[in-house]
Amino acid sequence: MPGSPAALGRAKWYEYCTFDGTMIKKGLAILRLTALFLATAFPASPTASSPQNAGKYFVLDNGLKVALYERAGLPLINISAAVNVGTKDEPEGSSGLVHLLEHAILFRGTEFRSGTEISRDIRRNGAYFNATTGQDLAVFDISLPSDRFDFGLANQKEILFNFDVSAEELDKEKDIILEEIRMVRDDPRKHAASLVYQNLFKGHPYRNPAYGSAEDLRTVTPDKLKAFYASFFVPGNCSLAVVGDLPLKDMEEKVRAVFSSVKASAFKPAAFEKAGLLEKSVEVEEEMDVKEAYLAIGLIGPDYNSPDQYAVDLLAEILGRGVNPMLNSALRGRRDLVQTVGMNYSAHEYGGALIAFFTLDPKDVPMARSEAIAFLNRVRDLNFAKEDYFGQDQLFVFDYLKSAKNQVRFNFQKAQETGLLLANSMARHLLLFEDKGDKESFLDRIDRVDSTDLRKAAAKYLSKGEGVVVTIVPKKKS
Amino acid sequence: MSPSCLKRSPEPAGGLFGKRAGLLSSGFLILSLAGSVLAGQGSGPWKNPPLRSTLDNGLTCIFQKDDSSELTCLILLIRGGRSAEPSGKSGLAYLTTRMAVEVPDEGKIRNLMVQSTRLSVASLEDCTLISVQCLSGSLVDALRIVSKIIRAPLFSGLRIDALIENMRHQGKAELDSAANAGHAEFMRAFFGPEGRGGAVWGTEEILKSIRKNDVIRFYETYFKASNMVLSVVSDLEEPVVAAHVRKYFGGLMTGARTETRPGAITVPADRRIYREKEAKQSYLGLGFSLPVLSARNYALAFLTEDVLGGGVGSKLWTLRFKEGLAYAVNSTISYPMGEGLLEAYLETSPEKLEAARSSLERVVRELAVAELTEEDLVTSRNNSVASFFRANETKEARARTAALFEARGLGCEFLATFLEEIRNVTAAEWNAFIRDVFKMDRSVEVIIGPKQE
Repeated sequence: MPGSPAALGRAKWYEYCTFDGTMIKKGLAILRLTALFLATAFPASPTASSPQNAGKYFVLDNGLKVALYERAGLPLINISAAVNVGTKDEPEGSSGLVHLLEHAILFRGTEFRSGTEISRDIRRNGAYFNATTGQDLAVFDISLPSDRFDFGLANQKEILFNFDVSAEELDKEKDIILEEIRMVRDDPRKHAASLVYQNLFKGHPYRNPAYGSAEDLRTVTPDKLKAFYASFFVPGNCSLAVVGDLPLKDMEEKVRAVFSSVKASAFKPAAFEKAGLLEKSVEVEEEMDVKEAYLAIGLIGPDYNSPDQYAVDLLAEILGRGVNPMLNSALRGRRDLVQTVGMNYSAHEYGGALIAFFTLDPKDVPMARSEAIAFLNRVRDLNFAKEDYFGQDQLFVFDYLKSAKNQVRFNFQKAQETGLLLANSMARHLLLFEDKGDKESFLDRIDRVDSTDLRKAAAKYLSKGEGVVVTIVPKKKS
Repeated sequence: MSPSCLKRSPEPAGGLFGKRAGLLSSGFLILSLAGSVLAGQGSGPWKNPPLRSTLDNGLTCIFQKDDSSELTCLILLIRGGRSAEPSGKSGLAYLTTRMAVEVPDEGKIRNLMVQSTRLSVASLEDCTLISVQCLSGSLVDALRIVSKIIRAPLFSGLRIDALIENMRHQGKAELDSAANAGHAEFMRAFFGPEGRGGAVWGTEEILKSIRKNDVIRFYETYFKASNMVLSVVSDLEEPVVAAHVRKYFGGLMTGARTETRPGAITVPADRRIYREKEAKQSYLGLGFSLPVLSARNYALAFLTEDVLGGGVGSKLWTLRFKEGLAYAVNSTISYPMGEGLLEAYLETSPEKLEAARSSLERVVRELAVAELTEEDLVTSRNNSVASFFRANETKEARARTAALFEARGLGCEFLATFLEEIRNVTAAEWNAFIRDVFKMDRSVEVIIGPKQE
């Protein structure tokens, strides 16, 4: 992307002691955090503005949920539209259907414009244009100069609710997705994360990789895709979030003017079982042409609305993030078994995933693997806070819990700095969040977590079920 | 250090960062010239302009107030970087900088951990960077610990060896990504195997040869206040940050700045580089040198990067959208001091590689003779400015960009005047720049992938 920091010299930041390798899932974790921040900025009533008048939430007559957030600063407007359709909704034998639809909607045309015309218009309006497919949702983002807000809204409405595609155009997009699948397959971190997900959710609707399977994709016809599209892309199954430097009043007027005309359509979203803990451990080892080894350990975590999420958020910080997380001390500190450590928790509507990720010398894989698993099992018995100790011992121990709470606060603040991230998170939150009438803020809930909660969460999610262990190792020389 | 030691700015803004770095005088011009993206802005693109000042010890300081979060981000830039590495010592710049923030005292590490302060290090062609990010309420503790260790790091053989071992692994993991490996090949081809083009992490052999004395010498030569730029973006008020900066960085080592001159680019005799890698896809890239960095050349390169590979609708987009050759097509510029580098690249299936080579070359050749119009320029200008805003939206990114602009002679005010510079580019000038850059007989091709027939 032009203007990326790379323009001044491509240098990655290397964390002081740890490096988070699972960037995709980290992204999801940040999105959730951002959404939880924004949720606190919005009033409970769908009709009133927040006390700060920064945010507004309402539902259009056709069922579209809308959140607006005024953010003075750069002259940019960020629009995200989320649709409650994800890999969970893919019929048997259609792995990748939602991802293909997401691609086709973005780039392959509508009833009114061809894909070429859409690309031309996007460029002329200085827009960043992208979309993502996940287990629960497909989200369509556009970020553009504020004075192009009208175009941004009209474009998103048209691609979402007036989609059309020809067989020729669809075939072209399939070719591109096949390249994307190969690209992921060549990336040891992404491939390992994908294998963890596929095995962690085996038997659950989340089992399909978001990118899909090449075999299934080849069988998708325009008619099949359009029929699937028609059943999900209705306003009552969607949300829209706008974050930018326009007054709320202007945002609301324009959103209502553009989206109120979309016809309502009856829609009842499907409900799925929550993902259960794994009963049998799964081991996957693959060889690739790499120099280092990559180890990922996945476990089922709490879902998006679970009360356990706060303790698990903190556990992820304590175990695998920050300056010197516990996994770093356990595996790297004294024994130098791994080179980098990371831990991510991603919460989805019907279950979550906890993934510990390591890069290491290939010769250390067996030892690191068993040490890491043993350590995760022991977490339920550990002390995390000064309060867990007595007397003078309190003076000498490190308060992991306090550190993790501050790290969550840091992440919370950091997430507020990027407009598109805020819009994307809010659009997701509107569809995933179950309002149980609880008024306590996210940070208040984090503050209430104590060591006992952490041990309970560790016992439930790190020790109780089995896990998925994926190792990517260098190809053996023939 | 007392406040009287400061070279106070003549501006009446008060505090360390009083001088508005020319922004006020150009504010109106920016508004009137920068086009649609700036419409409605009262004081330039950023709510608060970056302010510059200099401590008595020669440390250049930049401050920008930003209320978007309750965080403070601080970048300490040390001039030198890979260009300053002696022959046979690639990786020394990273190693030394990393050692300079290795806190030996466990109690202090715990303090940083409890407060969730984040430290990271990067090694670039012409400088190294130390990033400190913290909750603004923890700034004092963070600065106290970090500044103390930077002023007096502990260079023990044991610690250096441990870090070298880690670098050895990081270097391998980095090159497991074809895109990273491709970029490293371009750097080496254009800038040479050492210095600017040298490996960030060094190589197995070189790392073995680095001694404690090399680290100490590098530190003593480059870690002087006059050789550094400190850039801070924070929600705290300027006088508060200024007082902390004076207190904790006023004691950095003094001494004359150590100049490092970037070597000129040489196009290698063998302009086709192939590295075998068993993979599902092949990486394919074309690299071109950019003229010596200046404000205008930076703006021209930015526009060129955009028109070539700046996302949806760019010239390279055709390779994806129409020809189905790749999922990701991209172009990037690297612009350190001296000449820069522009890369256009994609990853494609081995069976499509020849078609991709031919299409990539065709797109570049066509662009070189395209005679882009005023409309093309307006489009790229809008895209570039919006991209620039997004890329510098976070405090850390903006603190880093300001520090790099300052160190590379463009001045931190280029954060805002960049827009003016872009606006002033004419179509004729842009076309001439493009013709000059995209000379195929000076390009380098890199392919990393399965064995070719």
